[in-house]
Amino acid sequence: MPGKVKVKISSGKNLPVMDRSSDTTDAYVEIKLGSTTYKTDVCRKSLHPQWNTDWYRFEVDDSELQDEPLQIRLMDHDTYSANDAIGKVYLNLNPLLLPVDGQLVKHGFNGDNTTHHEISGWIPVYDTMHGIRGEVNVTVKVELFSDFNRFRQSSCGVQFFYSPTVPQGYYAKLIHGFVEELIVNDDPEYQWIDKIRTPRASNEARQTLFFKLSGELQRKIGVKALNLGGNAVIGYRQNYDLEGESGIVARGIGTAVTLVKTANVSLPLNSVFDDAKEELKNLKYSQNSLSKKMTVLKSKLGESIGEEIDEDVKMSKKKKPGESSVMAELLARSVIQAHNSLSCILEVQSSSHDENENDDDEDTLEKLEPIANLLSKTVSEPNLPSEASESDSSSSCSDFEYDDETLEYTNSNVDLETISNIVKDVEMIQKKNKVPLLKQVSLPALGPNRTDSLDSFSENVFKFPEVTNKNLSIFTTCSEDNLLSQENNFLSDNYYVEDINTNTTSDNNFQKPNLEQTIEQEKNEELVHGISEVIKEVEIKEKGLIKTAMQAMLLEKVSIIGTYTPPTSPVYKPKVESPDIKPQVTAETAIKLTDTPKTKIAKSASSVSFSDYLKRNETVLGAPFTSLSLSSEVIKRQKSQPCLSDNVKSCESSLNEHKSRFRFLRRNRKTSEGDTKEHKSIISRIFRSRSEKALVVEKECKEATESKTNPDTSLPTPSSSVLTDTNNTPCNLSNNTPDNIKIDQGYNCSKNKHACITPDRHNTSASGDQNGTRVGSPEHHKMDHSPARLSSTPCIHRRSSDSDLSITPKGNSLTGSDRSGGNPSGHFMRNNVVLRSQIHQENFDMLEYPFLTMTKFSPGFVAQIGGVVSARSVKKLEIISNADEPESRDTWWSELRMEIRSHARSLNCNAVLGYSESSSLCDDICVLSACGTAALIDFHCTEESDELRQNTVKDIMSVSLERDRTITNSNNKIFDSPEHTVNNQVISNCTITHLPYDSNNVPIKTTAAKCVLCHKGKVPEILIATIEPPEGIPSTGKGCFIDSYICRPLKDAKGESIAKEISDGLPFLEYELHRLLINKLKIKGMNAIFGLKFRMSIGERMIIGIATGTAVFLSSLPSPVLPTLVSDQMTDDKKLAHIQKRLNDTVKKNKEIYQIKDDAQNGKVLSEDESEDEPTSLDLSTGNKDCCVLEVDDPEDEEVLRLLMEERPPEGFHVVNTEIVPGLDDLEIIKNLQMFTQIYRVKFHQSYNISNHFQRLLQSVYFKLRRMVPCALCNLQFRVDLPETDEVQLCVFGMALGLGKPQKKGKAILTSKRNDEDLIFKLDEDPILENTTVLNQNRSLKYKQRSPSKYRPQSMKQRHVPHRDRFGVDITPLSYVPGGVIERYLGNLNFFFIRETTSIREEGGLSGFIHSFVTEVLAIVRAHVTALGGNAMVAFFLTEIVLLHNLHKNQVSELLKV
Amino acid sequence: MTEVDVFISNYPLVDPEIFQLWVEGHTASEAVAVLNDKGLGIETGATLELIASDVLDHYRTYSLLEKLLSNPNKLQEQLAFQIDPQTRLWLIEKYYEFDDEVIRELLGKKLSSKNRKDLDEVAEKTGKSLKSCRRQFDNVKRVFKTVEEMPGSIIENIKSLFYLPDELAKKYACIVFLACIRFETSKKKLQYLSFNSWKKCCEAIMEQWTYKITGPEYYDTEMDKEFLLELRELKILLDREKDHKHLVCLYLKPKLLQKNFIDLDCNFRLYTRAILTLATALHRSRDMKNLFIDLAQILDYFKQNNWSIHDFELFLQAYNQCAVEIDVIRTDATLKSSWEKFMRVLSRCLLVMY
Repeated sequence: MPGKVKVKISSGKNLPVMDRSSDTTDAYVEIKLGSTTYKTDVCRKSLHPQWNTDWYRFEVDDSELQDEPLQIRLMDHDTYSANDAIGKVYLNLNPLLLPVDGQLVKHGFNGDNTTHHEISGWIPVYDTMHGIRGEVNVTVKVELFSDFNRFRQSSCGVQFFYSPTVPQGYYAKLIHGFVEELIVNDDPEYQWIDKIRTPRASNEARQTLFFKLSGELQRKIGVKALNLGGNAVIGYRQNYDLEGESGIVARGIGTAVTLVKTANVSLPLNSVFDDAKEELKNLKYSQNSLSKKMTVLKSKLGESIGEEIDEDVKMSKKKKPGESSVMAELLARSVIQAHNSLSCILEVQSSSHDENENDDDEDTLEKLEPIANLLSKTVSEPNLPSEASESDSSSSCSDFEYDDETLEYTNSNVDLETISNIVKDVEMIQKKNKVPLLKQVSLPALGPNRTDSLDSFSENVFKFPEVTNKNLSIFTTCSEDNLLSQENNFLSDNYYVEDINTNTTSDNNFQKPNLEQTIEQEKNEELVHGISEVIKEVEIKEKGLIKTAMQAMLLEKVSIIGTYTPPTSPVYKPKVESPDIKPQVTAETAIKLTDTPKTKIAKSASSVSFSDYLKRNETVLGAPFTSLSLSSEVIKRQKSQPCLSDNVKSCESSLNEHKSRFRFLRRNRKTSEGDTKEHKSIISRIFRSRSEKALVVEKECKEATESKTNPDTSLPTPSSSVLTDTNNTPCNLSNNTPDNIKIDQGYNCSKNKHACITPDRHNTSASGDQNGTRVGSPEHHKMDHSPARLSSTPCIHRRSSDSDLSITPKGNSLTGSDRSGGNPSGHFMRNNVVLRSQIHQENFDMLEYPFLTMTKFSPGFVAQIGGVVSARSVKKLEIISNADEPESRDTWWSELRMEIRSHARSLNCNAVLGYSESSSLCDDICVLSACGTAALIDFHCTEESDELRQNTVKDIMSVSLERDRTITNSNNKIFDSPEHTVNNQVISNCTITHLPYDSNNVPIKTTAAKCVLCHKGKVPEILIATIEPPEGIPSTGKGCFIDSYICRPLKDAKGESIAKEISDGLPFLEYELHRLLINKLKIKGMNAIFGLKFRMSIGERMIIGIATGTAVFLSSLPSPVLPTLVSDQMTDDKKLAHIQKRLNDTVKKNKEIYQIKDDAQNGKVLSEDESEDEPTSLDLSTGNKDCCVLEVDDPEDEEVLRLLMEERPPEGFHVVNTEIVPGLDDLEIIKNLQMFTQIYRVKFHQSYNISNHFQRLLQSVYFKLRRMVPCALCNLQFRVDLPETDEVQLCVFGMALGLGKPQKKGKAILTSKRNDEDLIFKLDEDPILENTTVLNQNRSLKYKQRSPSKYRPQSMKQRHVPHRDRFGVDITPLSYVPGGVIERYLGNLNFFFIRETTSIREEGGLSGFIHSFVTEVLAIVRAHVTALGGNAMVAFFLTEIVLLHNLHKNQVSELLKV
Repeated sequence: MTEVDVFISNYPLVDPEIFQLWVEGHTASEAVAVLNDKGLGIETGATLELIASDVLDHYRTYSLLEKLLSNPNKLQEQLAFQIDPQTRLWLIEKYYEFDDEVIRELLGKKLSSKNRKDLDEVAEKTGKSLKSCRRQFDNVKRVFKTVEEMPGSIIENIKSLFYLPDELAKKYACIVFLACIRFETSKKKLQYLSFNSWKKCCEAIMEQWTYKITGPEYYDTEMDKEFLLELRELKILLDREKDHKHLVCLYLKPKLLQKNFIDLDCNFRLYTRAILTLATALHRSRDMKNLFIDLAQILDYFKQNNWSIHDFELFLQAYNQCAVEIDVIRTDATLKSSWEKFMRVLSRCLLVMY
């Protein structure tokens, strides 16, 4: 894939004076890429030269493109002497090699491919001797030719993310695993040539080398990632070991993943949009004919079915331009169906979505058709028209739906323009709609309607968020309130719908005095009244069973809605209402009941499993929803049980009636019968059958293409059609729709029980026939129990994992609808997509190192955290003879990794998360350390279901029962072996804290206690992990920063002996660190540490270890025991008591400060195996005990103790080293305030009291940020270096985040927010793209309501108190921009700067030098970011700061990314 | 003990207090002491060391900023510091603010490097720190150099080039003006005048005596030559001195104190001669330079005779009006306007100086 690079140098400014005599500069530019060099003309005597060059073209191979930076060197032309260099610009071309996201897709529908990725802007010219010297305006473009050479060495298009999480706007489809690479090169600093060349030359050579190394490293890692099948690398880290004489070792580690941009999914939607539009048109045009056809079809029933199928097939075919589009389609469909039902049934109700009105119109038309048809009446007939109309309207609806969404989202962004656009769109669509409408019936009322709709448009949209918000908040309220409040919501909806209702009613009347419709309308109104009544006193009793059933349904749906994202909820709300209004038809209730009964039956029959479900639900949904689900649960139970029998009967009867009609119907009935039977006997069977059914479905599909569509049509209909017998056609339609809705909902909101059950039903009905025959097999019964469990768990897991991602609802809905579409292969594929961030277990196991460098995972991904594992080794450097084969370094690291792996294995964990590597060098000794968190990754669940499906696909024909069984067995094994896991996981998400290993089997001594929350699992006393606190982990109170530092002197030795000493000392050091950390933790009154980072550094005289982390109180873990003091010197009793008292006080105070509500019981739950409170039982051999007991033997310890107690950040500071502050209830992060760097270097004397210095460092940070209070300091990173024998250099990087009271301040803020983004992103993003992000946000919002949310939606933002508009470039070490949404990742940037000066005095001493240097570096970085078109940089970090004072030399190399 | 202690943030922190101290030319240690005295340490519980490190950080930032502050244009477009516009303006304003006392000392001095070296005297005299004096000196010099040769309104120029607020720009305009005409300001006689008085005088002159039409060839800093030449015609008033005196006396008799009136009666010739000679000589640049000395001379007469400011004002009014009533001036429109222009400035200046 060779590429063409085009470079244009337009001008320079603020250049330094190079020519003393004339006070000007004769500047020209050399542009170099690879071996090609171009020169511009000389621009004489100007400090602001204008070159305005043509495009310089470089034709290079893409691997070279990746390796080489574009070097732009500014020169001063001298006639007589040699030309002087002014400075240089290095441009990393890698960001330009990335696919412009959305570009490809955009082509299709925007047709604009003008937005070439380019670097363009003013970039500071940097000189290693003088710093920034002016700026140059450069434009660079890259054109790549595609080349599918399999053996290529390049890895263009692999995105690198330094941030240790899945970037915003993406989701990881597959996590492939660990990738690493290591390159060794000579250090030009130590080459012989350095002795004769100028410092500038050597510096530049070095800088260039660093750039090249980084490029090469990245390329190689990219290749590895590609080989693994990934398309991006997350958590990428580059490290350089400057080994002096032996060269430079460049290391890179990362996690290869396959990223799918959420936007990508949505983008095709857009295109599909268009497609759909066209389709719509076609459909419209053909509608008439279609309807005619329909009528014909109706007369010929059997034929009609076939035709319909054909139609369907057509549809499906149409909708299969691509996977994504299909997905989109399906999504649309599902939504549509919901809509459809809504519109059909509610008519007016829909007016909440005005477009619905249009839909209504259409629908009414459509309805009219069926109704007219009804007159001729065959029971089954209505099905067809309704279906057809459904499909029709579905496409149109899809448009609407999306418009709707976009509208909402855009509205929420208060982007008027887009709104108007959308409005236009809508209008367009309306017109389109209108055409057919006009054809059929002239609608006088249409016009007003539309205007109404438009008017109410904006209103509604604005209302919606509020309403949804309300909803959300309401959900959190107690269960009883739920009912009322929900009804309230409906009411409110209805209310503002009512106006339009009347309109529409008139419309309807106009169109046709259709009894049904009017009745519906009336019903509607009635319902409104009824609901209001309900509000007053739940008049469920009055209305009787039906109502109750409805209620139950409502609740369910509400809960679904609740779980669903707020913005979309309005869409669903109507759905919820739909059942309400439907009841007009008595059979309706039956329908609902049929729907519900299954769930209910399930419940009643196996209350155990049900409760399990519930619990799972709870856990998954989180606290707010538990109450709801519970309440709904209760209600359902109460009411469903009486209904149950009725329903079943009705079902049966109806089924019987239908028997003769359709094959699938028959099947259906059978299945349902079987179901009922099973219900009577065992529910688990359903599950069993479900899995089989899936098989069957596929089988069917394969066998008969007809049947493919059949299940689709039949599935929704069966239950309904059953009922249609008793009722008239409208109900049929409604029946269909509710079913569909439910299914969709079920899929969409995978959290609800429906998710589990609806698919079941689905499948069962479809595969009933086969089932009926097969189910009878005895094996089945035998296996009943285990499969049930199995199948249930995967679902749940999936749910949980899905819960946080925007993509999942879509994916799920896709699967749902896809399944109904009946495309087995597609279905399978889809499934793959749905299972998010899954890891192929086999793959993963096969990986050499099951490491992930990411630190943040979606909930449910991590099943259990084992603990921190780390490994270190001390090596003596030797000069690398052969730079091309860095074997020795490789082996060093692989040794370490092996060790880590074995540690993890011994903890019964299958992966290491948050893995990181670091090294420290001193002379020829090198300490390598690797560290990570052993954890049990929860890929069984996803894997399992996947496997199941796979199997089903594979062995369609063969009865896969045995297969299944084996699988299940193995799965069960997997589940069971980690103690309690299965149970625990199901019960609550406190499981994540449970021990993955059996405390007896592990070589390490630990104390395990019963989990406080579930009382089942064992939890460690203290949990330590290197990862970010997982979302949804049960924690109370705030988190706080915790650290420990140990400094140990080293003997004056050389070579082997020193190496030995270091390696001997390391364990002790580590132990000390650990002990200190734990003690501090206890004093803070907390019991878990996240984001732990170890850092070792060796110097000539000493070795320093630091450990930092964020302490959190996990409610599932036992509360820590109060440290007790012990002293050998009895004389000190008084003093001791005093100290003890102080200690207790501090603990108490800490608890207050961090808002840890500590129930006394927590302590009691603590396992009894050891009585830690007894000071006498001091036994150092047990690892954990001395953590609770502090020894105060001598004054030194006392000092340590004092150290432990002090240091609390001043008021208003929340300090953590994780990305988010755990447990910030009352405040939320609203603004990106400051990225700060503090470099501190101090002479270090014999006392080696390093913590003093750390304290001092932190304090000065606090002090300096004092004006920003309240704020949170996040992602604090420390770095210690020992550059000289008696000097220590500490660096802190961190992010100050502004905190503010959370306020729901809708639009006012939106505007400001919007502006920010407009600044850079020029609004070229599609509305849909935004949609997904918003969706994303909202989805996650639910889960992080109290914690500062990364996806904080715009609607809840308030600027930080010192109002300041955002400007410039934000640089943050975090992986997200607080208060902002990352629209686009532009690529990663690496920079390396070397700075040298001979005039340190003039520059204000060393401090001044560093100060200006870092400032300049930041400036350059910002300039690069701006040139790329970005406005923020995330995951910024300085990797290395090497400062050689005596040489007046200073070097920093940095890695960072956008 | 601490070798390096640097704190760098993405958006440079600007602490108004510390910046003020820096601008005032305090050394870091002084600033620390000041801050500590203000109770910063007690409020925040910070040790002196912390404050010192903070102050040093700020000082470093400011010293890096200083280069840019000296060229506010650059500050606007520079990349090194991300400062929001308000803060930027604030910084500039603060940096360009000056002490009247210091500037008063600088008035009339050549803005040369030699004088820059002698700033320690100024510092001593005004009690400001040398650094601060230097800064002010440099600022003035810089503004002067940039604006001096520039066409168009001087105030506008300053405002647009240095991003200074109105008030400050006006002040600078006066300084530049004074320097351009090179008015004698440092003579002992004029020593008592504060910068504020100077500013008022200058404003009056700039308003009345300079070219009103702004164009590329007209400089705001140049006197209206035609007008000054016109003033020569006022000689005629000398010839009509008797009439003039008569009218003035007539006019002032009921208003003035007896003593002053007698004095006026006796010395009117002296006074009017002084004023009119000044007027007629103004077209010579040397005389223009000495304008204020001459004015001081005139004032001396009145002062010697213990005129109160009120009476003096009355006199000036009368003097002005009565001259207009004399037929020579009354009939000649240009002469009349010149006279009025002249007298407006003169009376203003005299009053200010009195």
